[in-house]
Amino acid sequence: MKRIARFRRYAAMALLALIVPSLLAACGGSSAATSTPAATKAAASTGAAPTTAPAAATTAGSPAAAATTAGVAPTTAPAAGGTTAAAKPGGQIIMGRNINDLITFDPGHVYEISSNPIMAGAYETLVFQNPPDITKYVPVLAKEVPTTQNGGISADGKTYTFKLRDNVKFHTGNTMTADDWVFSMRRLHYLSDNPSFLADPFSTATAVNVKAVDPMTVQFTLAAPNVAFLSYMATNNTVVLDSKAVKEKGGTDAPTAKDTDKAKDFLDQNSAGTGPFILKSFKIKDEVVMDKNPNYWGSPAKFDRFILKQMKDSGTERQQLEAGAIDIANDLDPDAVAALAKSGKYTITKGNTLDHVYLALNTSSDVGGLLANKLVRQAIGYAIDYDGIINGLLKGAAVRPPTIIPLGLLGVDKVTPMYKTDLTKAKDLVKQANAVGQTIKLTYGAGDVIEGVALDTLAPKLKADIEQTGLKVELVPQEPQQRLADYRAAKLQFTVSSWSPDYADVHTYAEPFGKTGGAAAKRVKYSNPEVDKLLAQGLTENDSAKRADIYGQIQKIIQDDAPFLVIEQPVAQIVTTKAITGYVYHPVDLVNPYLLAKAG
Amino acid sequence: MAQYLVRRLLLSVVVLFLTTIATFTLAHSVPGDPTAAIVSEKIATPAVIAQVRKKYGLDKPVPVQYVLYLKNLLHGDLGQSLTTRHSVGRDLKEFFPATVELALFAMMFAMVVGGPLGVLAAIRHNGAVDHAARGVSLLGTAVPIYYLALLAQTVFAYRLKILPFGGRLDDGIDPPKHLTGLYTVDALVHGQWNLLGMALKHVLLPGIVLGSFAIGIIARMIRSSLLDVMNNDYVRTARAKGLPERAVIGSHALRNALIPTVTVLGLTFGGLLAGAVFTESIFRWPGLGQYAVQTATKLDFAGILGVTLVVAVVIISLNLLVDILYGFLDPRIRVN
Repeated sequence: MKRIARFRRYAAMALLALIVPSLLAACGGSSAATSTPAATKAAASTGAAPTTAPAAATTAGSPAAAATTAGVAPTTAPAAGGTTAAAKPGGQIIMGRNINDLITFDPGHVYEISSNPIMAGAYETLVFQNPPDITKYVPVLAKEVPTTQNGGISADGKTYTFKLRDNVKFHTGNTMTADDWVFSMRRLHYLSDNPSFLADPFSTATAVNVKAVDPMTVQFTLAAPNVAFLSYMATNNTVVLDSKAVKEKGGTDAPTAKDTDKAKDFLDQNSAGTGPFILKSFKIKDEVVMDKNPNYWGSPAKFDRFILKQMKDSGTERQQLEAGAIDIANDLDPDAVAALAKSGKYTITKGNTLDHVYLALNTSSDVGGLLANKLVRQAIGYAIDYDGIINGLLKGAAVRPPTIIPLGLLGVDKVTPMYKTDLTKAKDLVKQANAVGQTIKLTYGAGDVIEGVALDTLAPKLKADIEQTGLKVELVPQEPQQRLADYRAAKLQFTVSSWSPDYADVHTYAEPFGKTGGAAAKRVKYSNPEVDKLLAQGLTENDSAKRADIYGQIQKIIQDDAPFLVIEQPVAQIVTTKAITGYVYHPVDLVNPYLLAKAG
Repeated sequence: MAQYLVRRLLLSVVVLFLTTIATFTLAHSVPGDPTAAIVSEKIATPAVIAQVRKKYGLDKPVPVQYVLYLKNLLHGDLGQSLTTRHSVGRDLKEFFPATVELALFAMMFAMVVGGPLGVLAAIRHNGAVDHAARGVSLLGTAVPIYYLALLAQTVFAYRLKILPFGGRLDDGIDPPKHLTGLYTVDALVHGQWNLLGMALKHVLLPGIVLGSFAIGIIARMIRSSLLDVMNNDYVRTARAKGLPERAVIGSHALRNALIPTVTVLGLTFGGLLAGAVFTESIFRWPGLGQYAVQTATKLDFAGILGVTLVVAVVIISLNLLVDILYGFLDPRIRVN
């Protein structure tokens, strides 16, 4: 009896010790339950929170850009019940995000999504694409956007000449000249790293065709006309570096740069750009700090310091936002966003990303098997419960483009979506293909989460949907990196994958997915000569409306051929405190810190 | 003593060698392609992948890769990390001190709380203090550390706002002048008192969370060892001589009770170093645990081996230290 009583005492003490702090943690305020697993991108809730009205045009570090475009200052619709105070100079803005992917800020090497806000703040391009209409360009370090009318683009479409803005100083104090652009572009190409392909339009195996016509004019000669070229020149890799400073730190633009360049370590911790912010420090897996550039050529930033802070998961990120430890929460889960929206204390900014999650169906008979039959691929397209996936798994935080071109890019509105859930049609197609009872293997990365979707949940859902057609689906979970390697080697019959843009032009999707031998197309052995022909036309068509028609036709063909089926295109949802103004979601950069301001 | 040390050092080299073989073999037997982590979708042609594999020596047979690794290791080169693109040596220099700082603080906390708790529990055997001490020990070992970390963060950082959420210093603050990489030590040595206070404030919560597991182990070990020792004849003799209880416990019983405890302390510290992953992750502590997870999940062989070697060296060194400490604690145990 004594032992039992003693045991009860211990149990009571243990329970009390657990319950009291738990109650203290859980009760009161707007904080709800425990943290939920992080999504890789923020997903929107279906809450009624007001959204930020995207600006008609936003400045991107360029006072001239504001003058050139029909500029309307960015407006933020505050959440119900509040007003934002006027911003005044000074202070710091802290953005929380999972930044485990960050490893460098060297423009010749950087290729991680989380690096974009830092690169957008510290470095500048010749031209830029401002949301919401990213089909248009504004000048940044170029005096004007080159066109055939102003002579900036040659008649044959192969030569682009940029007159540079005067008196632009690097963070080091040196003045920008055309020679710095030549150095930066050559170095980008010769480093032969992930972003080097962005120099491909003006590079060959033996030469990088960029030259300084005079100290303030830089000229690019393309191997072939490429209407998307300006989009290449608006990325965070095709930026200018202070060539003198970088060379002093061991940087080189020689053809041997891949092995001889030593400037990366310096550029990991320091910026040699022209942007409104200067990189101060980078503590890996911890934080990145940028300070205002006091010698910026344009209007100075409206605050002193920008900090990008590591957030492990949505729960911690939400707590830190509510506690005032961060000003911007970049990748909260949908339920966290919904709860914060209801509180009325925060501003929710939504924007379509340019990423997507898609199914890849191998079209060859040796690997694809019965998927080589277009009817079977189309049947799968009609079988999937897209709304169930978007509303159930993503809480409505996604949209769905008709095919592989994400919504927001040129030509998407020219094609009517073909695949809506239609089981009758799906079953019929499977019967026509004589595929009833036959098995396809769906390979996916076990434990992987892509664009907020846990594949361990998505794969069984897809299996259940497709098996309603009479087909059988065998799930093959695989170690994610092995799955990726096999997919790249075109060894998989049927798989789930994702894609994100390198530059904001329709060609960044149309080519890899549509062109024979394109990065994605070759993995499913897809080839359609008609698409190849249209792609070549699309690259040289200057008229925007005609170009949109071309890409519309491309999408119709790919949609019908169905080598790829897009499941969802995530909608980013960023939560900011009321004191923050100017947040405009950029589908590639996430945000340009220069546009931000903080009241109080 | 010198002979003993030489023998142990030679044995340590053998253990490290076997550790590298085992880790190398295991890492290479996991299915997966490490180049997938570093080559982007857009440029992943067979030619590019082959180039990357050649650059990192992944195109060679595994035994050849191992021999090359060993050859470089003897020259102090731990290879290059696929994921950070830095040398593994540089990565370890960056991440290891943070984990050492956290583990040291956790250990100090555990000893300061667990030691007296265990002694009290033994002295007041079966009394209220004993029950309370055992309850605390049970909690420390039973509650999952990630739950405790989240709870602590929610209570002290979110609700009470008296401690920071995480990180080693406040946002945007430069670390103290570098000496050891342990911010508290570096700030103390350079007289940067503000930074010392800040670093202590930041290590407090993760240190307590990480140390809570060890409290239970230390308290229970001291309690049971002391109880065992206190039943011995020499303790009864000491009491019979009329010595005060403090002297009986402090001078006679405790010293012998510490022998098994020292073993546990050594192993526990090694465990803290190796197992701080959850704590580091939740408290944004950029330490070896986080680096280990990243290298393991990306099949970064050089990184995996680097972490394994560091942890192995630490555990071997701790074991040696423990063995030497035995000699001080118990004159009957001589290293000869």
